[in-house]
Amino acid sequence: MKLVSKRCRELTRRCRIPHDAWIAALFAMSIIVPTLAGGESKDVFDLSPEELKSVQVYSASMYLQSDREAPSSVTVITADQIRQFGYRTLADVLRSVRGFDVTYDRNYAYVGVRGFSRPGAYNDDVLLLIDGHRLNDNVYNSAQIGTEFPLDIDLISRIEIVRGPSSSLYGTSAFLAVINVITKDVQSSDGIDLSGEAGSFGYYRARSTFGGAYHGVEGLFSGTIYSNPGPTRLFFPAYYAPATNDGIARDADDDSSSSFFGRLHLRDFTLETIFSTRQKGIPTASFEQVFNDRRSHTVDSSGHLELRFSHAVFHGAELTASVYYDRAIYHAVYVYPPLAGLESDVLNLDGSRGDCLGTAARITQLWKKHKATIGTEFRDNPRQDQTNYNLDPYQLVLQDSRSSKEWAVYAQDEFTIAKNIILNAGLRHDQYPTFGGTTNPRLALIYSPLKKTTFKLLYGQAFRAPNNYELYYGDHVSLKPNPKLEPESIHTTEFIWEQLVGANFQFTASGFTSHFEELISQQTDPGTGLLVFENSDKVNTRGLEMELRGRMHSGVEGRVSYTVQRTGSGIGAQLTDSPGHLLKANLLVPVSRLRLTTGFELQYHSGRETLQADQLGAYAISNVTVTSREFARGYRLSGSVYNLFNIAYSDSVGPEIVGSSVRQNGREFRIQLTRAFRFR
Amino acid sequence: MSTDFHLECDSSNHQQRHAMPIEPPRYQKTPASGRLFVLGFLMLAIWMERSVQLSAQTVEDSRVKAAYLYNFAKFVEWPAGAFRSADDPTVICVVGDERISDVLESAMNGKKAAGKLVEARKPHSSSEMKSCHVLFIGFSDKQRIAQLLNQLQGASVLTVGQSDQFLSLGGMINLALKDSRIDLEIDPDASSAVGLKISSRLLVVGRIVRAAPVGGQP
Repeated sequence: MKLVSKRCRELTRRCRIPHDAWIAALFAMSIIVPTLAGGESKDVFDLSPEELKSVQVYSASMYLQSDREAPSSVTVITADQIRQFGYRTLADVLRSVRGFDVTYDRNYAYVGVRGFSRPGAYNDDVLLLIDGHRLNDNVYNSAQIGTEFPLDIDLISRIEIVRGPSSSLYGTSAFLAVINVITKDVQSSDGIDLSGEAGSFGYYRARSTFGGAYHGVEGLFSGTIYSNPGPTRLFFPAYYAPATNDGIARDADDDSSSSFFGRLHLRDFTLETIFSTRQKGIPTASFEQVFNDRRSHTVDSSGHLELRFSHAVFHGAELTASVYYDRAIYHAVYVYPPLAGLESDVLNLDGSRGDCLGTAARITQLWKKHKATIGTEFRDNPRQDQTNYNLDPYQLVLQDSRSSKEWAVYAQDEFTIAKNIILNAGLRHDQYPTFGGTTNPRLALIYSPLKKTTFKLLYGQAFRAPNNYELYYGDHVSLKPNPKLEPESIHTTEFIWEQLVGANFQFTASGFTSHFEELISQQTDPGTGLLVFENSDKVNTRGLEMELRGRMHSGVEGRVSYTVQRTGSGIGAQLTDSPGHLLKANLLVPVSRLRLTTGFELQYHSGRETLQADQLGAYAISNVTVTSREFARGYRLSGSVYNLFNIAYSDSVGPEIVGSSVRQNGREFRIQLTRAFRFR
Repeated sequence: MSTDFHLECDSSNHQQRHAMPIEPPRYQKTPASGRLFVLGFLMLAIWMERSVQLSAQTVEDSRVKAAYLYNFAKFVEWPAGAFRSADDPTVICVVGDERISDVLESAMNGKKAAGKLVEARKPHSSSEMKSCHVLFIGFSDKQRIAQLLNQLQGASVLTVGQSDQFLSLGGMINLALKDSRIDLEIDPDASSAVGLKISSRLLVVGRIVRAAPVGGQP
């Protein structure tokens, strides 16, 4: 994971607002029109318990009440939705979420939130949690959301996606968004689960999960292996020449991983561990490598062990404490042309290792009108190492070993001022050995003037600490380290209107404005001519977001969202890789007679600009998944088609890749068969 | 599987040593194609919706949960002290779920169970809660549930919840959403500890879960 040149290069682009509005209107209609024909449910109060048991239900509450009191803009994706829309990775999930866009450079997946994205930076401005445990490593601070994400997606119970700054609770990286992944409990996977998947390009994935309880000890263990040889031929126009195989990279897009998840739970204690490793071939010849060489690849391994304790200490108060050990190891092989006078290629090995020992504690007290939380966190990073060397002839380019300690304290209170007014206020102080301290607040005023109407006014501030790569990676030949970097900061103000429409629909509209300061970007040092990271850029975003979601009596449910935003450093300037319009639609249609559910998905991205100021065209991708209910003793079957219409589109990528855009896959298929063995 | 890629435009500004092959673009990248898909999508959605309406209807989960609460009034026996007189109504209380309490209040108008009138209420204090016969706790917040159950300790109130951990926190019946149906999970030890008798008709329909860790089954 090295990063060669700049992230926020602003390029002027005239923004037009085309036909997106009427697309949104059409989608809203596709949901509303059929409702008008909806029938009436018969009286269930005359049914016996036996009859009630077989009544098929739909949940309005899950959709409509989950986030009304949340001090931010939240989206929740459930295990059912993951199955019914055929999501394969966390990146697939985020692609469907309002205001999010994900790009893929055929090595890592990068997330952009509300128009702000930095392709080639490893998601260090998004905080990724599994069961509250921080996954961002301590060298690159990266949030890994593609196939390098360490948890099998089928072990997820739900994903809470919180937009906007949340450093007041979580500290660094809770900058653009927080993604909290919550794993399944033993109740929902009691017994043995076996799952097998196969798909296009020779893709397969196999999982076995064991869950059970014995004398009050609950255990859940799961292992997954995954492999995808990828397209046999990939065409890169920038390399269209006889010397570079006419621009065709052969068998260079291979991807494979294995992962393990384990959890033991006894009364107040939970012990959880995750290990994973992923190897990915690099077909793009990134960082000026030799094109079409299968040796070029990256390996990302990570693991953590966490012990959590949660106990009601006295009346209405709960103490949660944890201690954990994390390790993240990255290494890569990059292939360069032979040096003058030599014959063999130069293999360059790049690597990092981060170890972290941490502990955290918080106490929450519930009073009649207050829900107060105070907490503290301490992290010791005994190893934050980076290396880079050439194999033959051996040359050490970089060896940087670091260690550091960080701590933080925070407090939050949810104050019910009146029956329909809640004030949520939080503040957190973080202390770092490099730049010192930073304090970040968040304020939310939540007002429900009517039973079905909620208004939220939010203000938040967050920071992103410079990562070790930015601080210390330097070879003094082309890159110069800058240990004096300051944290990046963001200030966001947002106004949200949530309206229940009838019993089964919710409409959300939100206007937001964010101001980014001290953004870290690569500059040329005037004295030495070397590239160096500096706190230099300022960016402003403003935009509008709308979402309609709901459920009909027939069981058809869906959500449609539309985000329009402008991100830039001044009037008329739009940031690169910042789609001005995003439209997402998800629709679930049960076909009761066949006991099937069909999930349709549509994602529209407007055009955006690459780092080289090329325009990438707008595109709309459709995915379809058909899922069966449980049949023949615990079997479930599902089939998906991704990019149904075989649309050709490209993602904007970082400066390390020639051409600054990478063509994505066409139509792909997947089928999945799951067999559940239940103990009772 | 589209393994060979044809790109109709070149986004690099690198010097080209060869002219790009001229190929007709296989797909149009303009929003017009997007609009077409949207239209198809829309028509499919309406067609599917129509075909679905001819088949079985589904009921909102809150209505089914409320109906279960009413059935508990029929199939649970309270100890003698729970009713001051024979004319006292069976009181079903709901906290933490507006939707269920709305549905229940409008449905219980004059309804009877086991010869007694059934009354739906929204309690405001812990003493009011103790005078309920059935208490539905709609919260999902573990801490809040534990606090409420703690206040009810020893009272002959049938506690009903709708969260994963409800029984392990000391609740008696949990209404869980599973596979588009409401699953009844019953901890008979918790209810018999305060003198409530749950009819075998409910026990047969529900799934017995013994939350107490001592000697529990796997």
